Amino acid sequence: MRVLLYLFVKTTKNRIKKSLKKPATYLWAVFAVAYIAMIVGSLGTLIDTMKLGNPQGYTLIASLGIFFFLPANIVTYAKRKGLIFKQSEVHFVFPSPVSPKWVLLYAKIKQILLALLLNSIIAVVGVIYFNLSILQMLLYFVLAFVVESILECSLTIILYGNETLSKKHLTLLCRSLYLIIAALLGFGAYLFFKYQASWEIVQLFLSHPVVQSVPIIGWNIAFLRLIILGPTTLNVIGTILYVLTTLVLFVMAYKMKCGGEYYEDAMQFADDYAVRIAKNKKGEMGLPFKQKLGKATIVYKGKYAKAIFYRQLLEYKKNRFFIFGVVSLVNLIAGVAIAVFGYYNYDEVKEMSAFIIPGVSAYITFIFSGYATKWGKEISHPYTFLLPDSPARKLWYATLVEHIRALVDGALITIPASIFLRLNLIQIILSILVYMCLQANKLYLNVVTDAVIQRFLGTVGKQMFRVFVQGMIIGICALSAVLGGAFFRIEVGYLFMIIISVAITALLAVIASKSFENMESIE
Amino acid sequence: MLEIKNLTKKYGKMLAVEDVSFTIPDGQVGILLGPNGAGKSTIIKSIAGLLKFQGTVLIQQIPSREIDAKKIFAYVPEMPAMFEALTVREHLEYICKAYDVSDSEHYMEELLERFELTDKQDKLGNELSKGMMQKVSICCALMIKPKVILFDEPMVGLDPKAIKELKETIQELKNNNITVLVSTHMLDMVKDLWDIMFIMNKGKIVGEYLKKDTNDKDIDDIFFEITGGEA
Repeated sequence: MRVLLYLFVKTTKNRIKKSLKKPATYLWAVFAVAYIAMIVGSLGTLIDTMKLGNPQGYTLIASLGIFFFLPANIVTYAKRKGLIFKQSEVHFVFPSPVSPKWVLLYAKIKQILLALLLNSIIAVVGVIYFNLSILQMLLYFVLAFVVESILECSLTIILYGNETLSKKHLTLLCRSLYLIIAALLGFGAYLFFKYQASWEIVQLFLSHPVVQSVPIIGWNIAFLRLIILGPTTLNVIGTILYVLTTLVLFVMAYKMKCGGEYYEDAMQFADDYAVRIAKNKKGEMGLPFKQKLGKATIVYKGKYAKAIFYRQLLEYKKNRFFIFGVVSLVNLIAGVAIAVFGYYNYDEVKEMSAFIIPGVSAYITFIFSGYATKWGKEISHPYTFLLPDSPARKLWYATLVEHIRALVDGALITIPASIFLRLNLIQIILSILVYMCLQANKLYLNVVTDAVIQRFLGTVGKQMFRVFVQGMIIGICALSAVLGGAFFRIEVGYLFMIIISVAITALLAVIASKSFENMESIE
Repeated sequence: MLEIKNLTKKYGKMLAVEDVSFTIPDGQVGILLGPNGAGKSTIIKSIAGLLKFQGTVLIQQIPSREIDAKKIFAYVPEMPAMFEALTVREHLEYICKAYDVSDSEHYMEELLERFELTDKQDKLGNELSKGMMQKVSICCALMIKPKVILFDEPMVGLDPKAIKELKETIQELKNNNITVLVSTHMLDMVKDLWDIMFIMNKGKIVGEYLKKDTNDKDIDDIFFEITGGEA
């Protein structure tokens, strides 16, 4: 373990040293401290409003944490997930003469340290907001942290490192856990309908003897209740069982034979993780799973840059859901949600009904600003730059499918919503056009920021800059729409919004097309 | 000595390597050749303990998964991956600790000098080019002073000077009675080095030759005779 400790200390030290040399680190540190202070500051009011500022309230929140996180952790370990391995560890640590069990614990160190930090914050919060004594919090902090860490490490080794249980057994274990959780939630629903149809049922549920009797998860809650609320027969028995289980699991983990068969899964994870990190560095979001591709054909009805459009279309045809993606689904859900909202609240919102769809569209555009599309990959491809055509035509054909997708996605949010918001045909068409414009200026803004801003502000700075500029664009459009609507008609307001948005999009497109001249700007 | 006995590896239902057995005695250089997808990397990764497999891999007669086997075994993967927050020197220091290499300072300097890394020793892992990473990876493997060493496409990305150094290093390892296995496509690079050649195709060993038995026949000719022109 000494060598892994050396590795951990050295890499952490070097990372800190390197980041201290970057001015951005200090900026982020100020943001982080301000953010934490804001959260902790507003926590008091929230706790008071919900009448949770007492030991019972603390127990309730901590129990909820145990109830949701512990079973989720067990399931991830059983699936050989949840631990982060890097390619460098596959290269230098896996073949080295270090026990594979220690390698698992090394991967767990970061989580343990994070838990230590979280527990420290929770301990302070407990004393300040939940009227718990320092001694009580100290006792809980030490015991909970120590026992929980031993339990989790043992479970990690037993589940992740096991070489005797078959995949069938592990699947069975996961399913049993899901079943236990489902049964408990079913029990909670029963209590909700039988006794108390309010959120206070959560308190009743988590303190119920049935829940506290559930192995490991319930016993952990009993352990928490013993320290914070004092002894009862149930929580003493639960605590004894919890500590004994931890002890037994520890001995099992210690004695278990582990020759490193999990390395194969960990290596696969490391490869996937490296791809994910590379995407994150570029500011891309993507689906957490690989899509299966089918067979498809296409007839190329054009040459030069137009071929990019047909090739993208061919790729989309191979997709299971064609050009429909996550955003399409989100838009459809948002469209239905607005429709339901419009159905029940039409009278209250009828004055502003025409602006609800553009408002929600703008929000969705923000949320999915990092979502990767085929177009995003186009610009990082050297072949795009080698094509014998003008940069403007390349830009247009590389983004054409995205405009079509924006049209379809815009229709998905607008059509269901507009029926219950009672919009007329022109308003419906204009709403879809607004969505298309929003997507288009996001598209071209991304190229400009990738090419220029990233160099100066890095990935996070670039994303913040995007949000800021797009916020400004939306602000200008919204203001023009409101003024147009107020002085003329709603449709005129829409037109103003579209004209200004198109003008900005065109300007961004001209700047963006420069990026298609060579790869230097992107690299 | 490196012994592979009845090694079989499946990825789900796909059979990647089927019942492969071979032995490389002490002080000999084995080369593993075969077209793309023949199963070379799977064998190399299985020997390195990175994959689950059926069969036995013995390093100096110790099962490869045992800690004692790992202590005397070194591996240079095809794609080197550095710790991004460790410098070149710290990578070597880590290896010395992980393999309990004593009196390492002089040898470390020697390796850094030999592979032209002395002036790069304070560079972090994420500041290195692919070729530099490969050099560090080779130095780390040599630092162990192994009894058995595995090279997976070691020459890819190396400059001519480093390729020359690596060839000389392999020759020295051989002279020092170390067992070497090189998996490669670059037939020209291993022409003068090999003692035993294993040719793989479709997950099986389809040819095994001792250099002394080939009457100086060209390595390309042997390879293409067996694989029918697939490179």
